[in-house]
Amino acid sequence: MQKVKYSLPISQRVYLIAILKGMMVTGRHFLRNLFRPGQMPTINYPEIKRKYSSRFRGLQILTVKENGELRCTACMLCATACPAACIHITAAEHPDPRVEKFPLEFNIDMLRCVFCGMCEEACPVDAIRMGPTYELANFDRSDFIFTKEELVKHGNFTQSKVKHH
Amino acid sequence: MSDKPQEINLSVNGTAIIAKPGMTVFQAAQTAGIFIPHYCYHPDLSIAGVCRMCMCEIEKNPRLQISCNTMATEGMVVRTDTDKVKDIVQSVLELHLINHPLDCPICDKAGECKLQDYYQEYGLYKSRIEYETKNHKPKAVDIGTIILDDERCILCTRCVRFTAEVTKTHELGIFNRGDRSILRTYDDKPLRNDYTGNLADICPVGALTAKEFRFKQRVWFLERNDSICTQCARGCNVTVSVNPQTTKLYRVEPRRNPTVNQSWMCDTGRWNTHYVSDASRMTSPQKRVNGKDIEETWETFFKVMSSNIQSAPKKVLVGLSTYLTTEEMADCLEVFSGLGVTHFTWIVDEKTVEDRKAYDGILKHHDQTPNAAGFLQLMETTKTSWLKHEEVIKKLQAKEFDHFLLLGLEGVTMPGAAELLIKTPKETSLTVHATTRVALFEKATWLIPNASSFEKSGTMVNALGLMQRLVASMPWQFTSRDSHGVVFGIKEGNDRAVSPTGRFQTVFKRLSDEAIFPGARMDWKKMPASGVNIGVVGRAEGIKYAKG
Repeated sequence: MQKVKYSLPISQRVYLIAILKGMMVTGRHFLRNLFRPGQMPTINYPEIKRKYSSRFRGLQILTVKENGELRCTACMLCATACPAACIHITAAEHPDPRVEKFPLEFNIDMLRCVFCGMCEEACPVDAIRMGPTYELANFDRSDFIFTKEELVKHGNFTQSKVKHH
Repeated sequence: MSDKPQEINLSVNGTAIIAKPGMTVFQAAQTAGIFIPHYCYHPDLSIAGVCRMCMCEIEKNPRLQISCNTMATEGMVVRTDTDKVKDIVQSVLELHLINHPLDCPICDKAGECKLQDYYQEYGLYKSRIEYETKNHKPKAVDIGTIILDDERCILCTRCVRFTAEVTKTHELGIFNRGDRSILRTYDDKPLRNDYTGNLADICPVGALTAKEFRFKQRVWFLERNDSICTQCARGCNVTVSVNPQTTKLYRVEPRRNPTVNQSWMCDTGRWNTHYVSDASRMTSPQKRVNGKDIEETWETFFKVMSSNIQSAPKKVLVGLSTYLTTEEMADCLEVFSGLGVTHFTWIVDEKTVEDRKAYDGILKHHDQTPNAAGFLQLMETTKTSWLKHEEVIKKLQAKEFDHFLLLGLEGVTMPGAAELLIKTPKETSLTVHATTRVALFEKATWLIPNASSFEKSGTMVNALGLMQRLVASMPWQFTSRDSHGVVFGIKEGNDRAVSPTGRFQTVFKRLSDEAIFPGARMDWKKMPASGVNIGVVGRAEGIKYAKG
């Protein structure tokens, strides 16, 4: 390795000029925000929230039927389509013979989810949708696994548009 | 009719085929690798000709014919790829689907359903049927081990023919006529034969699904391995389905082998597999001290057992379970003989082994262990003397042995082994190598976990004298080891020499080089899937059930 000697011009060796330049930028923004607060790009986040598109893909919602039961039939197509392998379903026999199959467990591992929306796309009965929720911070890793009860509850019992037969 | 052997020359889709007399057009096409879509045709059942999917155009015949029930004749020119055939197949498929409930999301057959498969290939893709106008029939009817869904049924009668021809129990029938036809058991009684699982296999749609597998797993998640069933001496060819992500066993299905099991297997072999992932499965070596079980490591076991055997090899009895593969047995023989052990025995009663016929006339054998013939073959060719069942019990009760090692037990029921375990006196220190913990093992000083037959590879010889390949579908569960691993450790006296999982291939090569297996110098991987007839011990009764 060759050593390269840098020799800066005097104007750069005196840092004071650069500092003053930086101060000017900061001062400009400070004064602008002070006199025209409406144009400020930042928001007071937890109090004020940004409006997202209605097509935003956030935490999944499990929809319900008119009688309040889960819409999902545990066909596993979402789990099959999921590129992150984050959906884990355990199917079981439903007590009502007309329903036959339902998910005993429906867990989504949000640490793995990439919010691609493939599950929503794959679902034949409109049982899973990408919801608007994006605040998914937690203190414990195990809290990132959302059960079916949580996914239904946070979706406010959204009813499916598909007719049941 | 002349009785001379003949050949029939015909052409299907322009391919010249030489068929045997008595062959149908369908079978002739199959020999040439031409696939014709079908529902009701099954190679091991009689021909019904009801599904009308296998239509073909025969020259000089104005109407289309079903290929499964049209005899091949000299000079026939058959086409299955014309527009007329495609059109009719599409119409037939539409007819089959008129009243279909389209409940694929909750249907277990989805993924291996012939309705789905053929619709992809020949379907209309434009439904002309409205759901409201569909004919509704009973759904999810419990008929014993199987759940029947009449809406999905396409009335191919495979199941009806199966109960009539194979089990001869005649439980199923088609009732009513036309679009009101339903499949039912007579008097709505549950199925009462021991081969009901096959109904779910042969059903080309989701009308018959097995309760045991129902909703457990989607079929496309499963990885299939061709292996053999180890629940009796028949050695039915099977396909074992395991989910590779969870390494859990989900399903065992029969694989067609005309000489062994045709396309069938019994319910015991199919569903008696819970022990593989059961809570009673042994997870680590255990030593019993003052009536308490203490968890031990393999290292300790190998050290103790190795010194035990080396101190008095003549007072050691080694019981080789006939659940072991032939390679494992050979490995055990080599290692223990090398240590000076002279007493060997097996766990089955000779009487059950002599009976080489299926006692129910279909598949089941009295000998419920898979490899007694392999043991005999090995002992006879290596000229090793071994103690018969009665002799061993006599010697055990005369307290001639200090140590009794019983290797390779599997499952919950232990035919043969139970008697040995009960007759073992207190003075003899007992070591049991088994998959599952049962009450019979109370006397054992050492309990060591065994790999189940779904976790090991090798060969087994069935009662018909066919040597077949056993293929591992999943890795050794918990800390269990197969007998290769156990004898390796005992030989070395420590756990440092890790036995390679591919050891069976080395042993197999040695055995075939030493002509213990006829058809010497065979490659284990290249063994034919239908098995190799080694015939020495098993040929006596021939292969009676198989009609080819």
